[in-house]
Amino acid sequence: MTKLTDTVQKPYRYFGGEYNVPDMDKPCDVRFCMCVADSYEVGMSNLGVRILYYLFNSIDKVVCERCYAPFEDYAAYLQSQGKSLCSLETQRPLREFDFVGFSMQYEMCYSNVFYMLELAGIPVTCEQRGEDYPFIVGGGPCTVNPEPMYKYFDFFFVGEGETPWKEIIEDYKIQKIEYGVKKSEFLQYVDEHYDCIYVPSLHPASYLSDKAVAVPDRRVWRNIESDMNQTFTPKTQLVPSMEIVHDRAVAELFRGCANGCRFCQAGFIYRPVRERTPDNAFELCKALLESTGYDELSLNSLSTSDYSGLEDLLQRLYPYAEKNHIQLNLPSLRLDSFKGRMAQSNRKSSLTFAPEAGTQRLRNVINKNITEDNIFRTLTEAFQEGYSSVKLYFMLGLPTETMQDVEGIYSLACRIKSLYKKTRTSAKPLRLYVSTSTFIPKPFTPFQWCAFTEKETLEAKQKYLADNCKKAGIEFSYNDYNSSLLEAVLARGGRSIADALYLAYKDGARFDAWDEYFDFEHYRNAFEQCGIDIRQIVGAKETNETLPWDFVDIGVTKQYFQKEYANALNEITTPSCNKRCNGCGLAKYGYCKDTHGNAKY
Amino acid sequence: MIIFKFTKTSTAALVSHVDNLRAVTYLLRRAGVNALYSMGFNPHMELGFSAPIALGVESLAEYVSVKTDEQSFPLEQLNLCSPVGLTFVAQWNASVNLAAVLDRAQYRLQAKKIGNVINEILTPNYCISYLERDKEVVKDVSNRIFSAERVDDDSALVTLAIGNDNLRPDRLVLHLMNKHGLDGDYRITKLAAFAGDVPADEYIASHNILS
Repeated sequence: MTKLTDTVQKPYRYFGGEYNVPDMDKPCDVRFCMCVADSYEVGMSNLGVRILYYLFNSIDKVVCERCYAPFEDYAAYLQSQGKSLCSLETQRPLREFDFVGFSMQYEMCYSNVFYMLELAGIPVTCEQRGEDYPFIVGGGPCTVNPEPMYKYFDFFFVGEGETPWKEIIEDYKIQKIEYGVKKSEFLQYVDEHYDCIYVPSLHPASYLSDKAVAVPDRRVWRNIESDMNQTFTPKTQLVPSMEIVHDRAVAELFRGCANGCRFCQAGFIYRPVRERTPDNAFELCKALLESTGYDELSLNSLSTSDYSGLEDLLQRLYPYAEKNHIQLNLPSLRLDSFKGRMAQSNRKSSLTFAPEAGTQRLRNVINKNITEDNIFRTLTEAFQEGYSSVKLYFMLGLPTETMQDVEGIYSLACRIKSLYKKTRTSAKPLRLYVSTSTFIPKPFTPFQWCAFTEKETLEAKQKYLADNCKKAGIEFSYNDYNSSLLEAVLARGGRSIADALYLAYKDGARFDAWDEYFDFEHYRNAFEQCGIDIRQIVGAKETNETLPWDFVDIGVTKQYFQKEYANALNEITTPSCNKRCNGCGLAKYGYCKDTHGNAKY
Repeated sequence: MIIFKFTKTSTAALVSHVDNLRAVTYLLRRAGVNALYSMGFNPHMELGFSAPIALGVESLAEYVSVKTDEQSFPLEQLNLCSPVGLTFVAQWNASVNLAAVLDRAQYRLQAKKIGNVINEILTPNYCISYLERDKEVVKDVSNRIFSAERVDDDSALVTLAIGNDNLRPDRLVLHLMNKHGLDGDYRITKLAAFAGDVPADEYIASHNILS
């Protein structure tokens, strides 16, 4: 082992040995390797992967192991030893598994899928793999537009996996034992039996240059778990002996989000809101903390302060946390939530708000239903209580955005500064951070037809903010244009970009989500070589145009997106699902029990 | 205060000292050890470890002191709650500043032909060379070497300083391997710790807190 530590940083990443690893030695007919195409620290922090990992391992005669993308040093070590990429738990080569599943959490991990497959000695395309290699399967939010990766995956699972995945694996186990089912036969089978599964090789699509002409002739339904209190939930999690990104116990309070911010893909593809009862949530928190020993707990969801049982839950959690030396974290707090602010922290560290846009007009366009009044009321109280650090998150490049909206960001920051002078009780100077990211119009949002911003326009806005913030002593940070551009291409592209993605990997692209690795040149070359017009992919689209992802049905209708898009352009806001049903299309399926506006359903 | 002796082997040997501190904190919490917490802005469990060992070095003799009102704790319970490679083997109701007192450790070094060259490290003013921030450093380490003996061709036992003014065993091994052109992998295991000439277990036992 020691030579390894001389050449590889943090080798623990590649061998694991975490507390709470399920029994790997049990009798086993089906082996699943759950992969995240990012580093151990990032991948280990993912809640979806944790759920499926424990789900698969709970099935009789099924063993699920994990694998993450190795950094260059370990990849070189593997090569020097003549080894291929292995799972952590039993150091088994990936090609010996029945399934190798990738969790596709963000588009920027696509190059790492190629990287991991090649390190594992597995051919990247379905065609090359044939019957011989494991099923390469993908799940997670990116699969709502799986087309850019269509030829590399045997099948995609769209939506939430708890219930169907168990059945799929059970089916495979039976068919494998009974008659040694062939890969092609099983693909045919899942295509017929599971509407949330998409087997790209069975469903052709046609393109005219980079425009979809005909999408696959198959409606792929996003699976939705109906009841969070009943659905499979691990009561524990792995405890790694090295620090990971989110190194704490994480309890999911509810799925979905009622707010309907028009830029937010998660707000649409995880609809509707499904809550745990406070009883269920409290028991889950306790079980997680006791079985892991963690001294920090996150209450997770897309918008924790909207949880209807928050007060009830916190009343029970506070004394428990106090007694057991546990720090509570409540991320995703919306600005207008008094309860949430109270809960955010008992330490006066820093307040984080995401107004997303600088003017009320633009906030109406994007349906971020927060007013400046909300912001200043909350901040006045916070400053009086002694808070002295504020982080503000905005997006640049939003539809209809003008220079006035950008000036609004700076002006808001300046007014927060003067508010601090008037209301402060802390002796410390105000630390004010303004952070802007670049808006990417994603599939399954009302802005899916909008163009991604142009480089010159965006950089002029960034420069304006950078110059002014510097003068005013406000810390300012922003995203690199090219990395957002690539994300836009990957999110909105269709089958026509698939070959280019592999070429870019061959040219050296990997860890694209990491600033220190990202180099757009790999992609520029690849797109050029393949004759791909990325401006067409990220450019504006007609609302009646065929989109590459049109065959995926997330339950929200296209008409609703069109209506919301029109509302956006007219600066008309849409209330939260908690206030009334806005008719997105999901209510008819009967999942909307926890959005109070939909009580009649 | 309870002092536990534990081993750090297998993948736990790939865990750095700082990460191990957290891992041990979580395992004590899981097991239900009623440890005392520091007061202050960031309360933390009051633990004191023996001196850090280099990444990749396995150890059969690590120590941690836990401030607690209890006098002992079932070791089986701790081991049920331990990650791979951490195993608790002994405990004392004692009070010792482990990092300060334990100043020597005995290691088993395993590498091809290392047994045949180990005696040279006992020569007066023995110097080793190693890379530090890409610069070669040559250092006289003779006052940090307390014993060395050949076990067989491919293994040796040495006693080296730990804590402040320590000598990292991996540096010593790499120096010997480079100097003599020894090839292949190597393995280092910390077998025991000492307070001066007194074995750690004995030293800690003699500092028992009388109840």
